[in-house]
Amino acid sequence: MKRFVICVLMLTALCPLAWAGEVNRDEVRRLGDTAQHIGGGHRDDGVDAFIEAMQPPASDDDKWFISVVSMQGCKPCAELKQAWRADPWLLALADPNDPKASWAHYAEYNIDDQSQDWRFENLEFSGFPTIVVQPPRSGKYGDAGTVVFQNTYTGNPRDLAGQIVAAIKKYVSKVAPQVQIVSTVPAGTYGQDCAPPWNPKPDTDQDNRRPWRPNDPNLQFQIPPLDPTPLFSFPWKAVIALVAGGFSVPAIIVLAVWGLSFIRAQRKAAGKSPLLDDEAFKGLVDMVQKLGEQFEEQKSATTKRTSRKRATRKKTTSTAAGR
Amino acid sequence: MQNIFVFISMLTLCAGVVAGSPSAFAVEGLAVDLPTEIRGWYTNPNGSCVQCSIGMCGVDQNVPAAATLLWDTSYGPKERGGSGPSRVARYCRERGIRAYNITGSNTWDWMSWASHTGRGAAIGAGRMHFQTLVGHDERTGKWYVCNNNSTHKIDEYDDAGFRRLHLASGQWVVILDYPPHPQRPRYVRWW
Repeated sequence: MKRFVICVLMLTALCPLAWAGEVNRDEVRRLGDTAQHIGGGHRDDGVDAFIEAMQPPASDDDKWFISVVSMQGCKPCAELKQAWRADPWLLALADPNDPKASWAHYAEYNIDDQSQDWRFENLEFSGFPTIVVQPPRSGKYGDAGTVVFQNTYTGNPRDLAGQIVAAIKKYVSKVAPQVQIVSTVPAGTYGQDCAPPWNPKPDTDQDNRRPWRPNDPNLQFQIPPLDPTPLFSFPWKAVIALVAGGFSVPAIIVLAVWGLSFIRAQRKAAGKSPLLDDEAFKGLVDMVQKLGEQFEEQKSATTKRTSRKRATRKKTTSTAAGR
Repeated sequence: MQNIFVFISMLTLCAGVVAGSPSAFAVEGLAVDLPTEIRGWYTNPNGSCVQCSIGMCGVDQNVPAAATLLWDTSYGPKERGGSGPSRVARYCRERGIRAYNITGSNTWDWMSWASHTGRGAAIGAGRMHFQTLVGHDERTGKWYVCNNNSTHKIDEYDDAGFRRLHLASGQWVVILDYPPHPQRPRYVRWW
């Protein structure tokens, strides 16, 4: 009996991969050399088509990556996804309807999907949908993990396409094409029986009831950041007015507005969140400009009153002289 | 005498197991870069190795219809148990999954293509078994495979070992016809 047990143990030792699998090997043998493309459209049965079908497709590791990160129940997210299937400017960058012909690899991720959210743990989001653009996997344009472009969608597909193109253009001008990297290598249990261990993203975008919510309304996360040029060009006229005419409140106000916008642009460029959000800043600028206008009006009203008084005095003087 | 015989037998058992096992370690930068926890979702419960392997590729390429093969979801009913190419073709059609279902001598080219372009591949690996090819280093000739019976680790094979592994099951591979995932994005101050 002992010897029998020993023999069984030795046999097990010699066959470490002996656990039974569940592959239908006979069918694999029967099929022979076959490359079946499921869901890839119609192919005719000619010899050329067969030979072509047997070969892997051309490598697509030179394609850029465009990822749309959305959230469930977000109306602008659904609108962007829809736009990306129809708008010619976005289709020119990535075609979700024809991934092979598409210029870039296009993927839609849902931040609420536990099976994918870990991919974006290094990123910060100021709202959804967020569009992320990355260089090709081949390494031709540097590290494929680099975020070349990140921004939210404002509702204008052409504008978005323009921003993406501008970012890629700027990035490529800084990172010259590099020698191709040949390879990429180095550098659980089930839940309930029939339910997956995470909540898979729904297969439709029907639920649009939840409003779009930025994580932090003050956070404007954009890659590449806006150029540190101020919103207003330098007010040379105000400076000249100050130099030539002395102290002038409107000129001081114009300079103050320019200063504020300059500081704001600098903060944004440094990746810091501005002290005021866009709406509050616009309100402040409007208020300061109104103050300037009011002062101007008051000044002109005073000037008019003075000139009217002068004119009346002149008239009185001339009438008296005539008498 | 009998004790010595038992000792030698046990030693042989251990040696056999060690020699037959591929080396296992954590690798970064592979075509399939799933965290261990997510690979764990695809641990083979009941002889569903083909669906486990395809499911792992599905979650890697963000194809929910393929990622949820093992479970009842809105994408379709669960697919459990043994599979052949025709069953894979059937459920891929039913769930609207685009896939290459390849059998025969050309599987090597397809596996290289998948790894080179950043895609995983569900491949015949081991006797009547399916595993997930997660990467191939063209410089060193190493192949990296995740076995759905031990999802906590990635197994490394040299060319000869990988050839044996693939041939043991019969040449059949399934590759999802979807874009690969982008590399994990990170901020680099390039501007």
